[in-house]
Amino acid sequence: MLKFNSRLWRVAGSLLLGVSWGLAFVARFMGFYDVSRLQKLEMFVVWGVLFGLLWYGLFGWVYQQRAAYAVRGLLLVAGCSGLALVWAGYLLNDPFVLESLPGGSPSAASSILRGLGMLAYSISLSSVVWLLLGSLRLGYRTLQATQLRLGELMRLAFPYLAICTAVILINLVLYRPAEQRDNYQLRRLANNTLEELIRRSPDTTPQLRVYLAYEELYPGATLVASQEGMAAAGLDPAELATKGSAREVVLSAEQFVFPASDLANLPASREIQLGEHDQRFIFIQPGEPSVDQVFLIQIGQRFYFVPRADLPGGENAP
Amino acid sequence: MSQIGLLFGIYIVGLLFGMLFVQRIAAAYLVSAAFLFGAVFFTLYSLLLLAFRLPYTMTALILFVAAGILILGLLNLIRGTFREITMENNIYPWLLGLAACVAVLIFARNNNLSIATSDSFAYILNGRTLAINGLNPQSAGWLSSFGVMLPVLQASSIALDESYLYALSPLLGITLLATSGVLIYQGAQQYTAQRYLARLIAVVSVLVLGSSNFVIFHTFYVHTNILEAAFLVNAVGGAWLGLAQKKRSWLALSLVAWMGFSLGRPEAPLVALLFLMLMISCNVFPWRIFLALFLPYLIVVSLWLVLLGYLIGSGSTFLTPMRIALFLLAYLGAAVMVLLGEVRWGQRLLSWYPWLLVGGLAFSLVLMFVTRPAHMLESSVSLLTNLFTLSGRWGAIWYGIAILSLLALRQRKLPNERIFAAGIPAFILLVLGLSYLRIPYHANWWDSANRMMLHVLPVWLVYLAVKFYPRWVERVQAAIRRVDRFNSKAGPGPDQVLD
Repeated sequence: MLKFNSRLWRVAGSLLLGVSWGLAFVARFMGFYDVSRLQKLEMFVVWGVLFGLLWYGLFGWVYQQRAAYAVRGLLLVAGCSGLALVWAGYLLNDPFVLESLPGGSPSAASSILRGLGMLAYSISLSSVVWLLLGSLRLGYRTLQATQLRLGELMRLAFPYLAICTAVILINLVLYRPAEQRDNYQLRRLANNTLEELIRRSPDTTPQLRVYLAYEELYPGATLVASQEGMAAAGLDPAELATKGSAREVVLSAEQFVFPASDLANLPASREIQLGEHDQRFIFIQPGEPSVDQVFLIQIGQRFYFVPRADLPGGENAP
Repeated sequence: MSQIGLLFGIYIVGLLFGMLFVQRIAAAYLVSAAFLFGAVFFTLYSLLLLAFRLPYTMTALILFVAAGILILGLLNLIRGTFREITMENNIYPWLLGLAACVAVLIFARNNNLSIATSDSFAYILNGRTLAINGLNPQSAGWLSSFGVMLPVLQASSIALDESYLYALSPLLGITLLATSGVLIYQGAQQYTAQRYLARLIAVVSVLVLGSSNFVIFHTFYVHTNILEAAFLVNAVGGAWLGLAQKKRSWLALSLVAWMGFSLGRPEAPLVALLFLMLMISCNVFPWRIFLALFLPYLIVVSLWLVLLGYLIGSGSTFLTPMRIALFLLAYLGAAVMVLLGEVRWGQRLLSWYPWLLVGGLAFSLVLMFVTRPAHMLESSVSLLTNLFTLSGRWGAIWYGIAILSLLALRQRKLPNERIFAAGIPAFILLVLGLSYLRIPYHANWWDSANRMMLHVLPVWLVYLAVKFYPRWVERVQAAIRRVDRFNSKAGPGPDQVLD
């Protein structure tokens, strides 16, 4: 019979559990059904390898602690917590759990996949809990053994620890609520697009929104703002400067702002050769979003305002 | 490949690089600093591609990860380092590091808390432009004023077909906290093998850093500051440990971190130079070793400056051909300074260097105050206001640092302490001095000086956390000796107690 501590057992077990847990995580947490095949494969490989490694380590740890004893405990905890997990998911209306249960809605294939994933997930999760409990017990024993040695050093280190603790508490209790009212508090973004980042960033909304659709149309465009251009667009550079939004403004005496009537002389936007160092683009949105949006386009030392509607994709696009 | 895959790949490359040092450096450090090492290699690789106008595509990114893993994996095989990491020995830090990296990336992917200002968009967009246009006079001009590492990392978003790297800052933030903690632990372990207190001190110190709203904010803010803070603490901490423990491996890793730091912001090579000279002035290693360790750093940064100088022609906002020449001359000076340790008068000169450095900078600052008093006063008051009031968003952290620094004055001197004791004041004086060349600093969190203080804060914290240790250990040993003397029963000896 194969010994528990044999390398083959460890590798095979790790591979199996790594793959299944990787699959479970991909399915459960990473929108397995919403991403491309390549991304699925990538997620699967990363998670599979990672959890395979974790399991490999776990097997080693279990072996070092008395193997048979540990495995019995592992299976017991796994079974109980797996059931508890499914029950908790059911109570919490977790669609992942509900659809995996008999009578759920997904197709047979995904149901099997989810079922497998659930099993591996629950075993793995419970073993982590078990591992944690074991570590805590070990830690407690060690602490008991070293209490006297620690005491002396702790007494000496007290001023340092006390000052640090005070700083942590003040930061969390006193300063944190004040920061919540700050404009620059962290907000969760719904998607990972640049447009959303711009829209949700207090520094650029609503005074100065640089680069919206143009970079997508013409990758390689560089941004620069001109003080004159901002003033012409109804923005007050001095006001922006006090709010910290105008730091990127590049001042140049040679910049000219052309009225919209001169736009006839502007080459069609799509014909502009990008990648040249003297061509720059900027998008300025003055005021609230309801105000007409304009692009400020710089070619060489000249700046042009272009109504958004005239740009590619706009209502009046050529 | 998505950005999660790329950042994980960079981490793996850094991890394999770190593994080469596993016999001499604690695995916990190698694991926590791995992303920084990988990011340095990725930046150098990307710069090569961009400089030679090679396509900056998905294939190029995959090639980096694959070639990195292959080459470093082979090197590890040849050196037999994989054998050091076995189930029974040393595997858990590596597994934990991998798991933590993936967990942070997945967290960032599912909870994108990124925040940006105009600066951030400049970094993202210029990075994307760089991926398409390559290095040209315009992009070089911009890079010379803003630093290269962040734009280069953000440039990969074009190849990945994503908008920007939202997971980068969180990964750097966690790296900063983890490496700071490990460096404190490593520093403390020089005085005693008493692990529990060292761990407690490390954890509490990291919590101090992590509880500050400004640090949390920077963990999601698209900017260079968290990157520079992470590199600086590893560069200075690694250098100090290398000199204190006389371990070349620490110095080698520190120089990789200096490389990353120097590529992060335009003023960073100057800061690096000050610290490197402090390292040399400690005169711990023979000149051959110092020079062999410094040369790769000096060559890489000098080549980058020469390339910038060649591309920007007449100059940019920050760098001019004259300033580049001065930088190169200063680097040459640093290389020559290594040789000074071999002669007696040179050794004396080196021992004065910290005083010369801080004194020289302080004197320059006095001159600046005399020539432009209102300007310099405004900058200084703004910096202090930012550090000690709500405007800087730091919380109580600088009050804590100030009190601990005062208490630290009564503590024993650390070996090669000048790296901290002269390096930190020199950094602050330099930051104040830089305001002379620009508009005065202002009392707002986004002020440059306020953000630059984030670079030095972890270094300061590492210094303070280690500074108290020698006296603690000394007192405990004295107490044990007293007990031994008066207690007739056989008790544990000092070595046993402190093991």
